[in-house]
Amino acid sequence: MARSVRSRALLVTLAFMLAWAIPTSAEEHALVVITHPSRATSLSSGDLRRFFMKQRRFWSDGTPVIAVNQTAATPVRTAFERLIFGRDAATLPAYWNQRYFEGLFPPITLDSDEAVLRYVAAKENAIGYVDTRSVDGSVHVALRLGAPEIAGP
Amino acid sequence: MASPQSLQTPGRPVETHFHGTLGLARALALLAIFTCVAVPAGAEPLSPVQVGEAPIFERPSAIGDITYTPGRGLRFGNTGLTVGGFANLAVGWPEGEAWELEFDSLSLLAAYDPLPRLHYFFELNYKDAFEVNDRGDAGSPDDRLTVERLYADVAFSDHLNVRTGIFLTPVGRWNVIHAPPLQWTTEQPLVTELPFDLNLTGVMVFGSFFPEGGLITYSLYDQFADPIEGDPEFEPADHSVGARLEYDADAGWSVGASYLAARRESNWRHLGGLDLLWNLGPVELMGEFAIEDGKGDHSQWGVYLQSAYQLTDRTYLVGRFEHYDFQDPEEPEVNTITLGLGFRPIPAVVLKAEYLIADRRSEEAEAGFHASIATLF
Repeated sequence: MARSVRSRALLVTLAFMLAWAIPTSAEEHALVVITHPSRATSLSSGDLRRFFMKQRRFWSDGTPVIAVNQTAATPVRTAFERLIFGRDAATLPAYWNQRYFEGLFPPITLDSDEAVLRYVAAKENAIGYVDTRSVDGSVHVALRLGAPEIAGP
Repeated sequence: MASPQSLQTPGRPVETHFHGTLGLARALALLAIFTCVAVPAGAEPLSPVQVGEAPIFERPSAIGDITYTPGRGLRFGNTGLTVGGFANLAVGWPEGEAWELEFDSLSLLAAYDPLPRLHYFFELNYKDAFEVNDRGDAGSPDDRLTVERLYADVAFSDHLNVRTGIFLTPVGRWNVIHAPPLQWTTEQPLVTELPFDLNLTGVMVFGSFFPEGGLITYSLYDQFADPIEGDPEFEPADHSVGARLEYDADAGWSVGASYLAARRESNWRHLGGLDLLWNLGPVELMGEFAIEDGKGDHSQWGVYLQSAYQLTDRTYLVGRFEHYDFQDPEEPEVNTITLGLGFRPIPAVVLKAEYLIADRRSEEAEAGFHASIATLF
């Protein structure tokens, strides 16, 4: 009897430790990718990947792309990277280390949806992303990402 | 609880339920510990400073904020100028020889981007700055300052860019990202350094195309000038031309092909190479093959395959096999196996320790223990 109790205790402990070790899915965020109203284009997730890795540096009209990230480790940034890069998001720090060796730097970062909206609304070549609930009429929505959400304005 | 000895009879092994349960418990505990250590997730995300996106120093000035970001350099306001670099401290203990500690690389990097389509880059490397061994010999007998890169890029489009100056030879993968903080091992595979020059001085045309699901990158180059080189042992080719084509799939794998023709003293030598990179979950697999052939000369060739397995979110197990054939009667082929560990406390810093096993003594591949600490700054 005592042995079976110990065995069960060990199994429960093991299950707990495995549950802690195995990653749980991040909270779902619905995001929108935004551009300046004069750039009413639709984009694919592949385009975003290229823009935010600076593999593609120019819009189709030849003007330079200004990609705008949000602060690292914030929920919106984490959701964006998970949606666009998937498991490759974990390799982004190493990727930017290699680009630094060539004198290339990651996209600029802003620390809130409001800051991103103001920046993109003022810069014709900028592209950013915000939570769906934050978007307003000052920008163009180029792509919707993530879980279905109550539609914003 | 009955003592195991109470069940023991002469000549009979002590196999009791108590021992069996204890053995199972230990096995389960070990499995749980290993799983918690080996599953690379559940860790806290890296902070903006740790990923190199937030400065630790900021000072307003007339040219904009002057900021320093660890691993990303010192940015001079809105001028477009950023200065940074990397450093490497290494210790080697070849089999049967004395150990040696060496500050073997200190590089200054400077990038200047005055306009979106213009990019200037400069790398000044101070090699073998200082060394000391277990006999107490210390000094800088082999130190030298070299201009490793000095070039200007003009971007006409994503498909067409022109680079002029001194740039890294785009053969394979390792050479163009050879900085110690970017690599998993202290020692470099022979095939990534022996058959071609580290850099060349000339012009290169390069660009990218974006088919669905991937990226194609090409480069065509022509070396036509002598380098600004402070290394008296470096004898660059008189003239060389080459090309590289690479395909990077969004699925996490990449393949490349390289060609280089180099002329030394009226003899042309031709080099061809293939390389691959594959990221599959916690495993990174990288390999390169290159063969160099010249009229009237023997060819040399080499191949390596390296695997890095992510044990935890910051620790990696690294293994590499390499075969190099010098095609020289006085220097026959060599096979090496490298086994090591890498630890990245933050992405810009890496601590490495490895043991290199070789099937024969070779100056180029020193069997023994090698370790280093490398950092971007």
